[in-house]
Amino acid sequence: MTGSPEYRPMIGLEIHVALATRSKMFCGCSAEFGAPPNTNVCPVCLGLPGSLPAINARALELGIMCARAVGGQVQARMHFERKNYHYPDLPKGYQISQYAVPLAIGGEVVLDDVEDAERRVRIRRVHLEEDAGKSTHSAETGHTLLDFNRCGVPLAEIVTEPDMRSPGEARAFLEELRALLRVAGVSEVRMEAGELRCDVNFNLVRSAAGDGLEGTEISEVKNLNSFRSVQRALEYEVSRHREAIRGGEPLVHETRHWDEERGITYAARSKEEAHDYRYFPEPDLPPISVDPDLAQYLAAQVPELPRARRRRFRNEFDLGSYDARALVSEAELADFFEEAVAEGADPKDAANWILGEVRGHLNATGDSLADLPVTPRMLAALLSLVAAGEISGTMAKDVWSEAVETGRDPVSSVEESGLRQISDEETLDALVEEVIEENPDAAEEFTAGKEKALGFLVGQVMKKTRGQANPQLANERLRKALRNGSDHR
Amino acid sequence: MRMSPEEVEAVADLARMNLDPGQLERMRSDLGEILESMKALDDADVADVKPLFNPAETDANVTRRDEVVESGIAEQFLASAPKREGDFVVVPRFVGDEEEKDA
Amino acid sequence: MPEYPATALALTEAIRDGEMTSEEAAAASLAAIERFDGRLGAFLSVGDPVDPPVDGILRGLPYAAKDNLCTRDFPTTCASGILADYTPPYDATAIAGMTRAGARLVGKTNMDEFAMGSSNENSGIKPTRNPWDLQRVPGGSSGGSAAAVAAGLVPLALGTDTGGSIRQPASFCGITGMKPTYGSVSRLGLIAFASSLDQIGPLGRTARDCALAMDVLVGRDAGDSTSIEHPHAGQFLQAALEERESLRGVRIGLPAEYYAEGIDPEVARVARRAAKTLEDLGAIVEEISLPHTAYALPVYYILASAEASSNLARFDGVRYGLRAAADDIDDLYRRTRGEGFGEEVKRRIMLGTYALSAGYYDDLYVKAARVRRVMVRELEEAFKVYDYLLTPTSPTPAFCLGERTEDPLAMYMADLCTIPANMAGIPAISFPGGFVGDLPVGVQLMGPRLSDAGILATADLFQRVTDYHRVRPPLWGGDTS
Ligand SMILES: [Mg+2]
Ligand SMILES: [Zn+2]
Repeated sequence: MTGSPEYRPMIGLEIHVALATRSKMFCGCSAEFGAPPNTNVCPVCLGLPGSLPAINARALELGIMCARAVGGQVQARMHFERKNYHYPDLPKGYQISQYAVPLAIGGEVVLDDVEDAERRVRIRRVHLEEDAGKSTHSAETGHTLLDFNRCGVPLAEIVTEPDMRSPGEARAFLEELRALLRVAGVSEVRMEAGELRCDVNFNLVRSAAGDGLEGTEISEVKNLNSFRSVQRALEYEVSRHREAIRGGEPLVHETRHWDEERGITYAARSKEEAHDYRYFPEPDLPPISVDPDLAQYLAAQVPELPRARRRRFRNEFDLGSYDARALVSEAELADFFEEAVAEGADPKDAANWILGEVRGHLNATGDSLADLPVTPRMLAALLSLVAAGEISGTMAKDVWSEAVETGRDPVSSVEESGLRQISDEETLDALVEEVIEENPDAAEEFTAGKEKALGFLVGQVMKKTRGQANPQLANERLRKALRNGSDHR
Repeated sequence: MRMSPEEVEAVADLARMNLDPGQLERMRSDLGEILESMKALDDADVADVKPLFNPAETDANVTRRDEVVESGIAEQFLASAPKREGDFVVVPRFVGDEEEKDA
Repeated sequence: MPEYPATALALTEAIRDGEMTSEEAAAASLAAIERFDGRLGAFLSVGDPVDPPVDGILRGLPYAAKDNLCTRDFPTTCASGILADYTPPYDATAIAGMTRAGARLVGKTNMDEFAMGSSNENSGIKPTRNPWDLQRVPGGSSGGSAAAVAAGLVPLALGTDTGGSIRQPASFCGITGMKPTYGSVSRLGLIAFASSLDQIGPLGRTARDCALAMDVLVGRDAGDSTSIEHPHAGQFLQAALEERESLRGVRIGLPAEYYAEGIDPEVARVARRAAKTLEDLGAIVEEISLPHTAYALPVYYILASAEASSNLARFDGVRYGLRAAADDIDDLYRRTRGEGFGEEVKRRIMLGTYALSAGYYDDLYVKAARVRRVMVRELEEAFKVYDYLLTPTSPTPAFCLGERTEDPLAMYMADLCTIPANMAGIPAISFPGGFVGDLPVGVQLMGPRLSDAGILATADLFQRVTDYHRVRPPLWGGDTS
């Protein structure tokens, strides 16, 4: 068995997502990211003696919405359990999590255009738990500094089946999941704030006798916090496992870490003691029964999910799949788009404008759409002027830029500054005559067959009108006049 | 029911608790006796009984509103920590590394 | 030395009537502690109340609290080396409630380390002695609270009860101690031993004093998700004081298993005599059988130790309390926990860790939880017929210091009669029922969930017609200290 091509990657993910609550999972401390160290702390999240947890109702709701977003079956009755292990930033010596009865079981996320095919990634379970604190290693003192601010932040852990077949597919899944979670309002998924972290399980498999699979031992790469790292770590693992097969050296089931700088994974240094988490029902928290009405209400709170919305954008607005994907991946852009279309904008023009002008501005400035003073109605009106030929695209961009800066209605700008395009044939014909008379050489060159000369003449018309002439129409009228002229001559 | 010294050590290891050799041996004999007395449970025919983990078995969902409440204890906490460096609690280096934990 | 009335009720009335000031009451209590506690060992910390008392139903009442209840103004150590000198940044809900009612904390009482024990000999600081006989133990784990009340150092004390830790020392010290229905009193600020069994309760000379304290302690607390709305909150004293001449129509069961082998016949006799007293008051008393009682000890020791092994995982030397010198974090855990915990605590952590570990979880932990349900069902069935069950509180009177320290199983036997109430979360009270030799012996009355008021009223009725609770321990050494 030398590097047999029939081996393929088998990838499963465990994703931790921070839920968008104000306070922590089991205490009233702020769940806000970025506070000075050890300020968002209280007896509960510090695990002080005598403290007791109390479930954040919103975390439960967001968990249910998260589960619905990935199609999971929310369990009617669930409970929390203690996962016991010692770690310096785990203050109680256990993490409150779920085990035997999680929040939700099952579900799937469909990726529509991975390598032009539809791929389904099954979800095994979604459960709620609390985050741990943060350890920083001081190289000079050799000590570890502990910050407990993050301790107790509510997390949803989403566990997939090992259904992804390439690093790219794993990344596509994560991107789709991020879009889902944002749309559902479950989390803002700010990667820089560590709001999504991922563990990957990876091995290479191939069909074996019967219906079975055989493959390499599983590598678990822990705590990846960017999609790029996930993809790169997996790519590294693919070649590592392939080489192991080629070299005939056995791999071991192990936990590995990703070294971003060196671009490699490496085995965890700790001794491979078998973890024994001694899960048992959290005695400080009574079980939770999910009221079916509440579950239904929350399911209804989950808006149209990205895949359905993309499909609708393609069908209803005749957008290409790139535009549909790009718009839907940012819910606020997609909403802006839909409103602009509702205000009468042509869908394709609106999509181009939003993905070009609007997204470009947001990316350049880091603003969010809500920060801008422009409205979908403004865009629709502006695009109508362009469509009607009343102003040129260049003019439109100028007034739009002004609108973005000042909030000034672009249509009023057009009207007030007299920027309205000259699309009146009679006015244009008079100008065309002038230009032909003033530039007889160029006129002759064109009639002699030099197409290029027309461009020069159009330029002259534009110059006379300080850019206000409709260039397309000027072009047309020039052509007509020159042809007529040559006929006369 | 006797426990082997290795078993006792494995349990002490899970509990992250040093036992000196004398303690270990005493623990082995005490736990053995205690576990022996637990054999009384063997004849309880309860396979079909749902376990009862808490007498507060209730259907009343007990949750709190998502509101931020400042505890105001941060400084007192840091001041009473066994070792502090600035606004951090300090511990000696890890054997493993940060990613070890299973969040 | 200033004296104060023997009961909390009389003392609060005296203060209300202006016969005594709250300062005089506190001074009297502190003077008694100063004088006697050197030999008794009931207190781990003592201090003058700083703030003037709030005007509530306990205004001016000096009291003591077990050292596993978090207090801002006193260290809270659970009598453990691992929490030496630790002072919490907050008051337990029960403590805050006492303060709001006007009571004043004068000290924290000794206990078995982390409430694990039945004699106070597992205190990591010092043993407590029984005021009736200094060679004997006060019971445990709320032994300090019981001894302090029995010796008259405070009129009232708070304890905690996980498997009998209020009732058994109340029995050994000749006072009254109540374990309320699970969930009645918030556990917030109680340093957990076994969360599904722990409950805070009062120790006093009389059922009325316990009822008075219950009026302050009982109430739903959003900070404890297992706490409940009690239908009789604030009405316990009123229920106890109600004019009743008889127990006519009240059915009381005597479960044979609590009077059988393993119970000192003298103690069983005291309990039967108490049953006779209740019968004379009009109760219908019948023998019944609760065969699953036999499982109480093993089930309790598995479940309580399992929960304890997890609850005590946080004592690791990282954030508070003891930190042993170590080169790396793993070493820090192992040494801190190895040095900080006493023998019995380690034994239970070991047992609990084992019971939860892979391979034993189903056979030990889950099995015990199944048997727990069977035992609870059996009690529920009994309460369909009987209003209350009457049993001895502990199989023996107070035993001698050192008598059982070498034999954990013999020590565990002391909780034989009290454990079932914790398993079921039902209320139970121990009140003085008589003497065996010169030693007081308590009897226990259990009732169904939320019958706390009825239990207190029944115990009160018993105390209206008996004098056992009025007998005070001979004060050793006369008037000299
Ligand atoms: Mg997790
Ligand atoms: Zn907190």
